[in-house]
Amino acid sequence: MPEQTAIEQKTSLAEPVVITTQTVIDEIIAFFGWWYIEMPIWYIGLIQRIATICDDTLSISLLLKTFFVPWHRDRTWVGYFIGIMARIIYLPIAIVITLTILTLLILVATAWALLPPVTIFFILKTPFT
Amino acid sequence: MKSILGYHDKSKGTYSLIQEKMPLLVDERYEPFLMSTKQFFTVPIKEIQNVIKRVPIQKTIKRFKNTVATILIVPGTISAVIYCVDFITAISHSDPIPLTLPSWLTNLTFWLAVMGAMVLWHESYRTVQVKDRIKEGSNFSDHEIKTIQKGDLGLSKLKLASPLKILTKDTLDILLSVINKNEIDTLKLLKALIPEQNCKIIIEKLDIQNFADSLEKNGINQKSLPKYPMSAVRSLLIYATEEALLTDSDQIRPEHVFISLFRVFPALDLFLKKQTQNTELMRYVSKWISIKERALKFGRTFDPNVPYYRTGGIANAWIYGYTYVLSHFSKDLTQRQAKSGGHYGIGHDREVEEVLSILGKVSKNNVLLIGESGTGKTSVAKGIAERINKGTIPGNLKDMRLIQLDVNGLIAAAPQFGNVEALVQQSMDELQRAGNTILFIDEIQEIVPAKGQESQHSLAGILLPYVLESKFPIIGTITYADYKKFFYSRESLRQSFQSVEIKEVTPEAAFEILLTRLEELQQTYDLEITFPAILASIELAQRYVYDRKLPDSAVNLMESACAAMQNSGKKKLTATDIARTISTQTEIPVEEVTTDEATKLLDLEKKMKEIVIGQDEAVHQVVEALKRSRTGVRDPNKPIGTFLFLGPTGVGKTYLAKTLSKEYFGEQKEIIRVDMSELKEVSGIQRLLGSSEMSETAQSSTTLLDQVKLQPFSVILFDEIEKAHPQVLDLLLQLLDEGRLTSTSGETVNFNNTIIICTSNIGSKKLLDALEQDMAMFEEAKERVLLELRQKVRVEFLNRFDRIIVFAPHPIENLTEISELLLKELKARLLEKEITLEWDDNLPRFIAQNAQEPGLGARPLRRYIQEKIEGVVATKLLQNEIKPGDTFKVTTEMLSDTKV
Repeated sequence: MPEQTAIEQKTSLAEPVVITTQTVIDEIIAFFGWWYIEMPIWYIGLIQRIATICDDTLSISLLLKTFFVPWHRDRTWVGYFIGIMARIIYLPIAIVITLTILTLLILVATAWALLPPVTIFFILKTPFT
Repeated sequence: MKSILGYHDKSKGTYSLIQEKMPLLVDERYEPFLMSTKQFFTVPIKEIQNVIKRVPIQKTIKRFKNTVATILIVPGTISAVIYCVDFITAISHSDPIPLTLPSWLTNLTFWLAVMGAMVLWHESYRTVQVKDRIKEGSNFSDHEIKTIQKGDLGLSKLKLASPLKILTKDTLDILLSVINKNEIDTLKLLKALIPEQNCKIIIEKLDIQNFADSLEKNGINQKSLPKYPMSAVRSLLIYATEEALLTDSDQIRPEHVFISLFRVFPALDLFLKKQTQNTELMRYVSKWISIKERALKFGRTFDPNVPYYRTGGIANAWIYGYTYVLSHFSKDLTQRQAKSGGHYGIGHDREVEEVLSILGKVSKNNVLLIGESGTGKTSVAKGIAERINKGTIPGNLKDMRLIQLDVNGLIAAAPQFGNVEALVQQSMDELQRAGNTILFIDEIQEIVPAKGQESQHSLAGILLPYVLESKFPIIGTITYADYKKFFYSRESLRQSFQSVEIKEVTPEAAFEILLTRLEELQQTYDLEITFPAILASIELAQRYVYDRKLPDSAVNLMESACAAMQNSGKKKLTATDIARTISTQTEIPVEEVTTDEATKLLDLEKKMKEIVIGQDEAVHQVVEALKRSRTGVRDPNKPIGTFLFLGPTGVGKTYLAKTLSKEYFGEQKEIIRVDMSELKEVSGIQRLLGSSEMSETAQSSTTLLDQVKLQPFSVILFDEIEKAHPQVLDLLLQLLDEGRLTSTSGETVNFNNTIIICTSNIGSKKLLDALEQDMAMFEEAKERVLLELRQKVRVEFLNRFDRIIVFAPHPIENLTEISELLLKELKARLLEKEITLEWDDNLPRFIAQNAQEPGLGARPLRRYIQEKIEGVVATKLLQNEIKPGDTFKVTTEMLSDTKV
């Protein structure tokens, strides 16, 4: 086991901050890395979570799994009939709601993706219009 | 073990493990690392240098970007407002506003503002987010540890991670503030960490007063915390990472660096020890901070990092039956746990797994949780609800819910619904139809009629068939005693359930449980609870509370102490307050030995020798045992002391036991006496442990265990052990060794706070004969007595006593002293009637000479005084010859004349 002891060092003055071209390039890369990689990864997680919430709240996968289970476990022909009919009517509505929400989320994602190039485009274009 | 520390020798290409000492590695050849079961942490010095170079630049750039972005946003916002106003003017056909900007300017400023907003958003994200996280790993198995010790680290299975990417911004700022180009000032680092919020919480919770001021006084200076070359930062980061891992944090916070300083520097470790604290406790505080943060996050439904518990949704009730009636007197535990996010079943992971595997079966899936009160049976059931919510359950339990039946609520609700029978029938039918419900009945014996009280019309009679037929899974809880009483004799009931034993949790698990309750207790009682108080409540509850088990005993003790604090007006609960509470409850001095008490303990031997005449050796041994107990030096898992007293009758064996009980346990406590001559038959065991018969007579008789349960702090006297049946003595073997006995109903009773004294008359005649001859012969007689003892009593039994003490018969001098004592006792009693008793100087010797009977010890003296003095005084009082205020003098002539 290497035994280490403290050694006295002269404190040197802090170096002045120098911003170089490389620094600026690094910052731009960091920005775009965050905008197009880190945030989309987080956003995908958010979409998954919202999809889970929709599925759970609207009971979509549960109803699909138990499509032929009778209404309130009433194992008569009435129970089976109502159970299936309720699912046939309800499921499309629930799926449409979920798809609408997911579509909106995708639109937001698209807007997110387009925002930087669109912004740069209009900033560059506007002085010439 | 969750983590393994080590260092890589780059020159030799070898890996070594750091076992005990925690050095700050300065030599760049040695690269420290940390392994968990999922990640491998290391930080090359170049990376640190890059960060040091980069951070000031980043700060400057950040300031610049924020300024520019803010400048860009303002005109853009104004342009947007003007544009909106123009638009509204246009569509409302109003007069245009004169202040209209050219459209290209509006557009440009607007889009520049958008760019500024994007930049600001990015900067705010960078301020908050860390780039990576510590992944929760499991403990290394023994096999894995052996493989690693042989040199195979298994690096290919681990993800490489850098502590620098796991530091929070605050931690990084602090580190950088104490790092110059070439060195790190560890004293400055410590001082910079102290004001940090979480470090302050640690200091407060450890109850260390004037922390910053105490450091200097305790030798914490530049010499003990020197400056190191910058390469030492690697070790510090690795140790801080380990602290984060051990405290269930996914980031390195300032307190993790704080704790690692105390591990690295001996001066800081010594400082903690002087405060009677340690780094383990600091770690617990940090863990508690992590728990609080997770609790705060709970409820953030849209946060992907927070668990989401499925509830089934709108159509849940379509698939399963409604339980409309049942819902009126039941609690949906799955729903409650999903809302509160509470963590249950701590310390009972194995039992929870066992219950889940039973519930997951197709048939015979009822579970009976058996355990003492307070061991956490209900918590295990709630742990099942938590697992259902998390989804970590067998497939056929998914989408199930756990509801707890409120038996009392059901009875109370009965009039609303008609009668009890109809109500229960309806509820059970609902449960059967529902198909997704596990029924939980706490204290299930409430629905089981006692034997001989069968009734088809009682609640029990109605519920029982459903339990027996088991159309839905049932979880019940019951204690050992109730199981024996209600289930043992019912074959069908017993067969309907699979039993899972719930044992007392470990102190570590009890600590975790108290951590989860800490915030709630602090808010309820408006108190600051220190962590030494939590530790003390667990330790003292284990040692002194026998009617409950951990964790309930510790929680209860903590709550009692908190309630007591409210009356006192103090705002901080410390270990001393806990000790004071348990002392009040048990009437046993539990707090640290104070100066007064130390004096009392040191004087105890002298005081007892004045009361118990002529048995100095016995008094000395017994008092030594008390001192060991009171200072916490003794083994807490055994009785305070175990002694065997030998000697003829009347020499003070029982008197010493009574005096001891009075001096140590208090005036009010009597000794528990077991006459072993009554246990000559093997049935005598029932007198100690209880009867296995279920008759009322058998169950109502008081046993030794019952007495000890009521009076756990007492002297227990087993008289004349040589007369007991050998199997009874076998019981005492376990008692003397382990300090506990188990009753016939399975209940374990602790004898850890008792003093056990056994007496025997073996060899009495030899001692009496020796005394008649010569005192010098007495020592030889003692040896012969001990030899006789070993012949008549098994050696393994004798070996379990702390001391075997032979009481000497009293010579005339001792009997004289005892007479004097007895006269003083009589004097004190008469003084209460304002009568002063006096006697001649030679009276005590006179009494000793006249009253003594060979072989009977001091008892004849008491009888003599009763007859010759007390009788006379009583007669004279009745005849009014002595009145209050009078003095009555006893002379030897008077005693010679007095007729009995």
